[in-house]
Amino acid sequence: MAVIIPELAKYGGAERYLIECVSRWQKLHDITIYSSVVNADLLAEHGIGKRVKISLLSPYFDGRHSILLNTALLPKIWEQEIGKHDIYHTHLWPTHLIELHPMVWYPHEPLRILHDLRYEQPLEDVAATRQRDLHIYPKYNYDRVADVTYEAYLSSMDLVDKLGKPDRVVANSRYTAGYLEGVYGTPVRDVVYPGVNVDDFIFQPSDENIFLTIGQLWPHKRIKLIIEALKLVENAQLYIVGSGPEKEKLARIAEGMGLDNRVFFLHNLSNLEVKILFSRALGVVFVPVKEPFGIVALEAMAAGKPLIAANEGGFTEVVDEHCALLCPPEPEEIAERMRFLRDNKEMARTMGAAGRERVQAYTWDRAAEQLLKIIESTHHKWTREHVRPRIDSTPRTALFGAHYYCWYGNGIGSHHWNDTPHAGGVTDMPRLGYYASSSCSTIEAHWRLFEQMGLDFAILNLHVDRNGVSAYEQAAAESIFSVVDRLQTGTRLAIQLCPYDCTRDDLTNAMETIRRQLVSRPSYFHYEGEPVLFYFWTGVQDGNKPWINFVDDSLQGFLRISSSLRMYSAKDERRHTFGLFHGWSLYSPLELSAPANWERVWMQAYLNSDAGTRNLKILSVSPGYDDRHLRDPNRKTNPHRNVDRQQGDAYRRMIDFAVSVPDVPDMVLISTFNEYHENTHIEPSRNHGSLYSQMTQKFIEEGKSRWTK
Amino acid sequence: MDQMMAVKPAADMPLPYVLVDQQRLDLTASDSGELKLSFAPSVWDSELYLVIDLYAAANPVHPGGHVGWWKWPLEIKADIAVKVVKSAAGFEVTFDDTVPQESWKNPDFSGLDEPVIALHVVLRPVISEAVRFDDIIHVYNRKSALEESEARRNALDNPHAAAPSVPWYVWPRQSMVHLVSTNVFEFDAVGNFALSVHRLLRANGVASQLYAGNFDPTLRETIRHTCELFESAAEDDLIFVNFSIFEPWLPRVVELQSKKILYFHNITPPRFLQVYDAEYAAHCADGIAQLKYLDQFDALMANSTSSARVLQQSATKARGKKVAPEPGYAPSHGPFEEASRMLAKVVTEFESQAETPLEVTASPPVIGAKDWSAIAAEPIQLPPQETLLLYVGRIAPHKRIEDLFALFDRYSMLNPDSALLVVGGARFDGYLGFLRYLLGNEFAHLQQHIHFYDGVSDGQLKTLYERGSVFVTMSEHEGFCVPVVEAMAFDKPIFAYADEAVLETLGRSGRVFYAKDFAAIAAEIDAALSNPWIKELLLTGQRQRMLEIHAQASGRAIWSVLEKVLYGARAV
Repeated sequence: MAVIIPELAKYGGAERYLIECVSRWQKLHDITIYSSVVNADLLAEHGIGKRVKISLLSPYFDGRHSILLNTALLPKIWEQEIGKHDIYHTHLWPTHLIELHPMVWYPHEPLRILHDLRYEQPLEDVAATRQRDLHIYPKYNYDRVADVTYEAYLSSMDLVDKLGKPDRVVANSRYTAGYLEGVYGTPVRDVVYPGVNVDDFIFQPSDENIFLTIGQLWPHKRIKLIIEALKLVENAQLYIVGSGPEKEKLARIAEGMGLDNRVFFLHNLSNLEVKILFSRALGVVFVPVKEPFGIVALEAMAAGKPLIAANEGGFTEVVDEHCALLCPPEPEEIAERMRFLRDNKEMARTMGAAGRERVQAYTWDRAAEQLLKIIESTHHKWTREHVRPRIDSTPRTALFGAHYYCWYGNGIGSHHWNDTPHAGGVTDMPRLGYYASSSCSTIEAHWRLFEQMGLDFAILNLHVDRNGVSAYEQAAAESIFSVVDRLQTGTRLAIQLCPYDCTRDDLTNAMETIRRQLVSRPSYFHYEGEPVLFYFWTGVQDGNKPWINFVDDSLQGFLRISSSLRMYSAKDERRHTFGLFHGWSLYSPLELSAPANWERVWMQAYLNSDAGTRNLKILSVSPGYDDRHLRDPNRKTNPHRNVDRQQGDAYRRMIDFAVSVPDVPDMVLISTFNEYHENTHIEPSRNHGSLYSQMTQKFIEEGKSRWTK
Repeated sequence: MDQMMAVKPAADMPLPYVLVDQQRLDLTASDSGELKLSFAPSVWDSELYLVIDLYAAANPVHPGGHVGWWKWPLEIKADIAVKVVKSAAGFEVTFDDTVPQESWKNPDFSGLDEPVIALHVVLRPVISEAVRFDDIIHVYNRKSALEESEARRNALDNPHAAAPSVPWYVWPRQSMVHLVSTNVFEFDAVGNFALSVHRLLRANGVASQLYAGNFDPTLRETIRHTCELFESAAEDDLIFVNFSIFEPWLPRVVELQSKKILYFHNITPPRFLQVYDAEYAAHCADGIAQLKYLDQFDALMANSTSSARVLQQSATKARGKKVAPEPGYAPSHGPFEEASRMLAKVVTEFESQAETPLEVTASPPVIGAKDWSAIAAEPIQLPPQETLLLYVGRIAPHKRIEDLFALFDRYSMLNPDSALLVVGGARFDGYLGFLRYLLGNEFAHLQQHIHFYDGVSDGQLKTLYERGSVFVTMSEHEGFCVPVVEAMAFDKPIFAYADEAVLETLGRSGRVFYAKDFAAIAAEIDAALSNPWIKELLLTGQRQRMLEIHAQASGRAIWSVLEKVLYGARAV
């Protein structure tokens, strides 16, 4: 499950909801939390362990037009950054604009600046600056726009807001459900109230005349009203817990009223400190403008403290007159109730006890359970209605794949087309010309050819070094997936990771990229239900157990197949790679021995398929090899750097061997479709015409008819 | 509400004050008394009114101990006579024989039966509820209370102990020393130190006067309100400021022409206190902000080298060094965060400063070894258990009394015949409530084994020290920690959390712990108490350290700083 929230830094109502639920769900589901800011201490403090993965999203935009960027662009960026999951559970606005399904959105509230807070701007500031402050919770600061464009911005945001299509919306109160229905015009039937952990609170009556209010310091929380009320209540103090952009203004107001030694601002408190404050309070005051829910009300009840609150908002559904004094949001009305509690401490205790009794029905256990049921049922419904069977999930015949290189730039001399004599030289030209791997027309042409050849999958090679994943290949891979997704072809895509001198962080980042950006694509190649990842194995790390353990952890969730440069055997592999791979294949079968020994070596490799833990039988075929034009000195030591194609005879010899194996292979890999530097390509080209693609097509036809499971 | 700390200046405004011509009013023989009030010029620059507020001195809270208030507009620039009249109907106050503009008398409490009434002279601004000035004069209703007050003043002015040191130079006759503290109360370490400096000076013939903004009005005359300093300090005089919390008069003190010394007792980081007493925490934060005045003093002293470092760091900051911002998602605005950060970063940041640090003389906040032999042990009810873990100090959040409970919880598993004694005053009601909650819940099983002692006499304290088996402290912030020295004097093994100042006071004696692994500490205590060899080794180190501290606490460091301030480079 992906749990998505814009920021998870402070401990506001929305964050608390997420944390309380995830702490209960973490043992039931694999959960990844996505957020642009994550306070790890906060999660640890609430028992969210390492089992829950954390993934960072791009942060909010600031500066010019930031409000629009945060409305329209940011959710789309997040959409790209979020990996593939069975279900997406999103919190707050505008996560509903992330187009991932199935999605259960718990908005907490609509974007209120578009609606009931639209005209709550402090006009003295507007008059002075000719600017307006716009706020999206939980972004810490305001986005500013020119006053004259205020309405235009809001209209644009309003337009975008309606484009979100979450599969299910859950409201935190009936009040919010009605509000959401008014905004989005669709019924919101699910209401799950937040909860509270009653046993966490210090339950003891207070003799001190301390009033407590907790909330983010935004204008609509109306802290100013409470300060004004306090002025009318002698011999009492007000503790304000929370932070926000209004803090300095509120502090000035308190000082101006001579209340600076009766009004105190606190924030960044530990859980324990907040609970101590609750225990010291005579009462809790909470008068925000139409609060969608207001967890503070539940917390006051749990702490056994009477609530003085505005008579509007979602929390009014869970309190009653025995535990709360609801009143119009006016200083004198609030002050009257504060004085009442100050002068009637026994009544304050009775009300507190009543609240504590009543709140037993609103636990986080209940909230988490109800919400999870909705999430699970949404997932089941979606799966029934939308999941298309994977054609490759239960292969009935051998599957054919080809190594595919997506590192080419546009035109000779560009990326990998003779760009360096060291490693980029080519001696042949594709029939399509020196194409760009990212070009749509190239991709479409290649996949039409693959369809024609009957290829089941292409293996995209992604190289990782100390600079991370090759940016060019990553960008091209994203284009290829996008185009192939659209083509809805039968030829899927798998990734082959080719790490060269990379660190653990590089590999971790590479895998995060693959998981986030690529595996979730419909075209990604799965085998028996698992996404397949090929891993280029040179043998340099043989026996390096710490590294292999790390790779093992990094590759969890994938069916892992080694593309090996060396031979392997069931007997020795445990010592070398400790069961890292589920299957083994040869990357370059022609380079392993002199031609006289080819069949013996190939058969030996094939029969050693049980070197992998799943005993996958994988054949590799290759049309020839020639890298003599490359000036890399490391290549000079290779005794087999020129394996003549012999006008297709070498390839024919491999194909003949392949069809002679005694049983049905699970996969046949063609090495390669388009590796021009080593001249292993079968792609139609100037030197070879369509010979190799046609031979491949026939081979696949023959293989598929011969090898049925 | 804490009336003692209610005074706060308006931003950028000189603090107004009122001089009172009487030190007390005696209504034991007559039914009326009169005070003449004179006003500082700053009073007339502000829109203020005068309030005379009467409370029971023993219960100065509203409404239970509130007799009433009488309000007078300050419209004419002239002194005013305030008359307090007692009758069967209760107290009345008039201003220049005129009835007040407004007044309120508590219908449920006349105050007539109270032996002492606290008369507050208060200045409030017209537009808000703030208190700009508050001075308290006792009104004596009963003869015995008046006599008791006189006896206490005499006891203070006639100390038993002889001066532990003499100056090696002749004191200039024209110079007197004005000792300023924000608060002076009994059992208060800062106040005690101010009194002991006062005694040291007077025993050596140096004229000295104590001042405080908040003090026990019983001691009025011996202690004067700080505002009187501005009427009496002369250019040749020395002003010795004991700085431990926000001092509202500091901006005015630094403007005086006299030479000035600041003795820093350190300030509790407000983050420890904010949820228990935000008002006090705010005063700590404001106090830390006042360290900007450091460079206006002629000499700086501190109660330990760790406190000295705080001063040096503050001076560096005042010179414009940039402090790295705290990591985090949001900027902080509140005074608590800023102040806490300032203190927390002191050590590491100081190390990284290339600039020469300000000179600060460290000297313990005690003068002379306390002569416990001259104090007779007094009885006090003790628990029956054999082993007594003893803590002496304030019951304050940063002292981490809850950690003492947790430690004792583990220790009592090893030794059930034991008790924890917590000796000290509690000014933080919220914290006391929290401790009470812990004792009623998490540590309910220890309730019969944990005992609190507040307001004990020196004789009772002696008994407690004598009976205690070990001294323990979990405090996470100290300036010096006097009780550690007392525990040394009574030869008790000391187990202390490794707060920087405590480490310094212990000077590698006793046993400190850098982590609060309660089970391990409990085992250490058990080992020390059951193995005489370990105990003796601990005590040998402590005895040696105590001698070093006594040598440092002779008062010579104070004489030395006074000499430098008086004679500058010639004294070096």
